[in-house]
Amino acid sequence: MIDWLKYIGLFLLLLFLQVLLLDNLHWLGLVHPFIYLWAILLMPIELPRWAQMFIGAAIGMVMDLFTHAPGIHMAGCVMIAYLRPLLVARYVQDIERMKGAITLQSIGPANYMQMLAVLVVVHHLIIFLLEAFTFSHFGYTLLQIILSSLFSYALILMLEYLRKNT
Amino acid sequence: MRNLLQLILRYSNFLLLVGLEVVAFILVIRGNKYQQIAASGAANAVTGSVQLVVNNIASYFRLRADNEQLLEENARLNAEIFELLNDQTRQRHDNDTATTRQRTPLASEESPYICADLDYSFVPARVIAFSDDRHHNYITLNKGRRDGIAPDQGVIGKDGIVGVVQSVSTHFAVVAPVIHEGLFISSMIQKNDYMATLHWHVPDIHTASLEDVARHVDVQIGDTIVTSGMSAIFPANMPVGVVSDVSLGEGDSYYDIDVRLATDFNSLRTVHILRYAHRAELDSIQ
Repeated sequence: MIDWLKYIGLFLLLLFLQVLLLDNLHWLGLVHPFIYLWAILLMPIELPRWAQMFIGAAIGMVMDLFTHAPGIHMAGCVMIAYLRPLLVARYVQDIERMKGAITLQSIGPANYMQMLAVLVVVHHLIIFLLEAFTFSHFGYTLLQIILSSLFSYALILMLEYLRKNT
Repeated sequence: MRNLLQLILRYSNFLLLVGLEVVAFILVIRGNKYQQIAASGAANAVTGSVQLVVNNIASYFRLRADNEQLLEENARLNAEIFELLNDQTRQRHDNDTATTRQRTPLASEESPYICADLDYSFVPARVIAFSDDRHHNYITLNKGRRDGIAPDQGVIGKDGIVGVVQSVSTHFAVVAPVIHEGLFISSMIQKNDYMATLHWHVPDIHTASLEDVARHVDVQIGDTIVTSGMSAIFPANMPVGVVSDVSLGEGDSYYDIDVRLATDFNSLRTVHILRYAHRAELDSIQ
């Protein structure tokens, strides 16, 4: 119960950081990092997978409310909520015995960095392509995806290190 | 039957993924159609309040720039008032012989377009959030249904048109700006009244393209593009932008025209929402 309250508190904190700060940066109209997806990584791994996907969908829908574009973040979040256990299974032999969030300590820094990279790129690919909803000006969209992914990746790693040291 | 059930159970996670993604996709498609966003109520009281709080804090850091913008607009409006006063005195001289005082003939009797006459009222509003890095950008304003704002009303800034109201909540409105790929704006070339459609594409938020200009039309770099007044959203002759590039291929029947937009969406702080008085009447017969 306490864990859940902590988790919801953390999600609200991330959401505020996302909406109050990152969504207002307007860096060259190109870079738009999304750090709220860290909340999906921190979801307890022992939850049934259908529950993880529904929570992912809910997180995405909350984000969609703020960006006035229904469905986009929901699609991205459901996908990474589905992929996360599959990726963890690649790094951890007895996933059955694993408990709690996916962190630097629980699966090791190298594994964590790899997994985070895959999830961030998949998430950003879905979000920016769905928002564009066209392949015209694909070069611009691709540049947006690459730059935004890099920033999101760096920011989430930073947050993860901060969390580890506190 | 049993095999089928087993199959479904085995792939239940994947099927759930597909199901949720399909739901999301349907939402995206519905949201992408400009008309349907208006119905989905994307302007939201909770998200609007949060954005308002941020904007209240952030606006302290821009006071100087905002003041300059307002002063500039004041100066322009003052100039307009003087012009109108001059017109009025001239007209009074002309009408001295007339026996009855009638409402002066409106410009709409001379031109077939809807004009910015007494039939429009202006509601000032503040920009509290906006995006500029998307294909379908948005602007959130601090005025809503309570102030008489409704979907499909036009929005103008100090330099020219800004966009069209998409959806409203009690206190907030979400606007599809000119830099929204779903928006097509009926415009014309000011010098010869030639009608064309203005449409924006990523990535340059300062430039849009003017479509459907046939090759026989006289169009030059530097020509002013204004609204056509063919809808109740904008009156005629509101500034849209200036032609910045014209090209015509060998076998093309239409020009490729770039228009430098009058409004700078990055520095937009205050706008006016246009309310057309005869909207319901017009809608009922169209």
